[in-house]
Amino acid sequence: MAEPIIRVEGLEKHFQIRTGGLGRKMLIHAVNGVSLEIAKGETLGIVGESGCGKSTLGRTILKVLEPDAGHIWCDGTDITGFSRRQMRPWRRRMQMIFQDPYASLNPRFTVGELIAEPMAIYRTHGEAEQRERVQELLQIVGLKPDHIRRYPHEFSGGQRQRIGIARALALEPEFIVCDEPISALDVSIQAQIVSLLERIQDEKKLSYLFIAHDLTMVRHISHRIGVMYMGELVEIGPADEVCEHPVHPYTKLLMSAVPIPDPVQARLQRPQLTEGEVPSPIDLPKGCPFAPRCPHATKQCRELVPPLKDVGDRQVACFL
Amino acid sequence: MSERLLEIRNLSVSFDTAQGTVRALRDVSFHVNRGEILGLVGESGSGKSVSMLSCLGLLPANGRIDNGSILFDGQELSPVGLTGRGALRQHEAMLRSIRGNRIGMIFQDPMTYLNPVLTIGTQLTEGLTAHGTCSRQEAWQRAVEMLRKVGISEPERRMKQYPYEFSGGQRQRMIIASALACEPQLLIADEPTTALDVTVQAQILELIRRLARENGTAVIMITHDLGVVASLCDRIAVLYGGKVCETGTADEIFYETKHPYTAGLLRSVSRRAASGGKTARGTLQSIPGTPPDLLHLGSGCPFAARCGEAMKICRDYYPAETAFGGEHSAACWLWCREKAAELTEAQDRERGERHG
Repeated sequence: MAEPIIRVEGLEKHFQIRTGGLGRKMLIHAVNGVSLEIAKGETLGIVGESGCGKSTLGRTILKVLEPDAGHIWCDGTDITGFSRRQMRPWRRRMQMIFQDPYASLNPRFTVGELIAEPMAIYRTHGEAEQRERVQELLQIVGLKPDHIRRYPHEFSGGQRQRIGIARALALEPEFIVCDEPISALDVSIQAQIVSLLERIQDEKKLSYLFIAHDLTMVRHISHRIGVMYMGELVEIGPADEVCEHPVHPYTKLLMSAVPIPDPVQARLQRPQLTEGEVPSPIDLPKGCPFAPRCPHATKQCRELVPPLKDVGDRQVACFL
Repeated sequence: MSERLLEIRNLSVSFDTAQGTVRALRDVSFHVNRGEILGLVGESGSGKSVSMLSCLGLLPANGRIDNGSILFDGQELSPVGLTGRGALRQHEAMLRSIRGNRIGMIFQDPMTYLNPVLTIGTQLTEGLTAHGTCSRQEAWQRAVEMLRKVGISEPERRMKQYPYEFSGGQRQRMIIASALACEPQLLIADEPTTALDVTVQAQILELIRRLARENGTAVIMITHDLGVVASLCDRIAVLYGGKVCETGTADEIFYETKHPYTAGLLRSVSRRAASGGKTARGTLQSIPGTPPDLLHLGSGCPFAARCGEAMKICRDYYPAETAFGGEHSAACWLWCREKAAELTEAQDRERGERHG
């Protein structure tokens, strides 16, 4: 097998917070020992409920956040300990698309300036070349050439997300972290953006880490899907397999909760309901993080953390 | 007693803004029967929320109802035609007695709806005592009972806590409890689960379904999530650009889709989950273009610019409604081609005369 573009092993990220007036220090385990690989030209979808650490995982892989433990390899090179300066040439190859197209674009820059900014920072193109490249990028993401002099506020949410994508593509990266790129958009526009991302991937042979909580869209775009719960990867495998035949009890719960846009199917398949919600990541329960909500939990689950094991074509972290 | 609990007829609402008049609703008609769950589906700006706010007289100051009638249980809620300060004041008092009492509301974001400096108990009992339905002690008892009903443990203790001590799903449960405390005939839920995780969403939807069935409450569910509608609603109305483009039972909308916009909307959600994962990657079909600008609406069908089957007439005339039996109807020229041809001919003739 060819070298994966991204390989992560035992990645951990903690945040320290103070609670209460006296400021008792507490540790939040946002990402807790995650290992995964992303092949060239592959999309790995990451799903999970809010607070499960999926965004933190994306940011830590890009080293926007410094990992507390574990290693990150990009194209075979261990970049974990790299300083900011050492990271510079690598940053060009790894980009990010953000969730909120309203907050992630500087309102005082024109579209042309926004898209050219990465090129100016890395001095990759001369001025004339830059202008040409911006035009090319606008065309790729489906915007008009005369949009170049306009400001972000003149665009709709979907168009702004296109600007964000053009910006991420400017330096011809090989790997893009898409952090909930469609959550803020209308249904008909979501499909447009997903199709655009798929087309770009086919043309440029990009790899995506696609983070979202909308399972149907993730399933559509991803080759493989990883399910996160409380900072841990509980199941990872081929997209259709994970969705159709979930193995981990949490994945089962998650999949059954997705509303199906089909009345007959929906009537047949009432969601499996569990009591309770995601517990706070501050006081992590001992053992499997899902044990308190799991209908099959045993004594073993409450005491030991199940490791990620191969089950057929996927990996699952469960004792069952 | 009629079947129809709320009937909206030819409702038009507009907003005055610095850029001009925004016509948020144009000639909208739909109804909800007693004990029924109606889904209002549409993208942002399609007029879903505005139609409900105008029922309750809660439009912002720059919004006004231009025309139309809103009949709730035989009572007119629309202020159209009322003149004089006395009549308007009376109208406002009438609305106030209905709001939160006979019509309950659930909003999208539970945190902005709850007051952070008041305890849950104070906020839950407020509605009950304000409408004079019961005394303080009774209200307290009733609120505790409601909390238990919506699945909150130790309700007596939790009544004395503040909103920040609850999770997002619990807060949404509080709001459902407060909306249902007065036993309303109609519950309006404006995207109640958009801010929640899927597993919590499933819990909340099940709760709404159960409570509505138990109490015989009619529900209007405003959402853009077709999955939510499919599993929950009896009937659906699809809104686009301030117009109702198709209404019908859930099965009719999903399986006998008539309007191109509804069809596009259904195609743009990945239906692989439903079809057993057989469709290949890349079959997701999106609707090209963007939703219409409500400031500059033409006289034609608002969807014409994005519609793959648009004809010449679609850009000039808004299509008449075609009924397909039962309650299924759609507003599209594709289903009344004869009339469309007639109109186009008349239009051409007129043009010819002008040039000749």
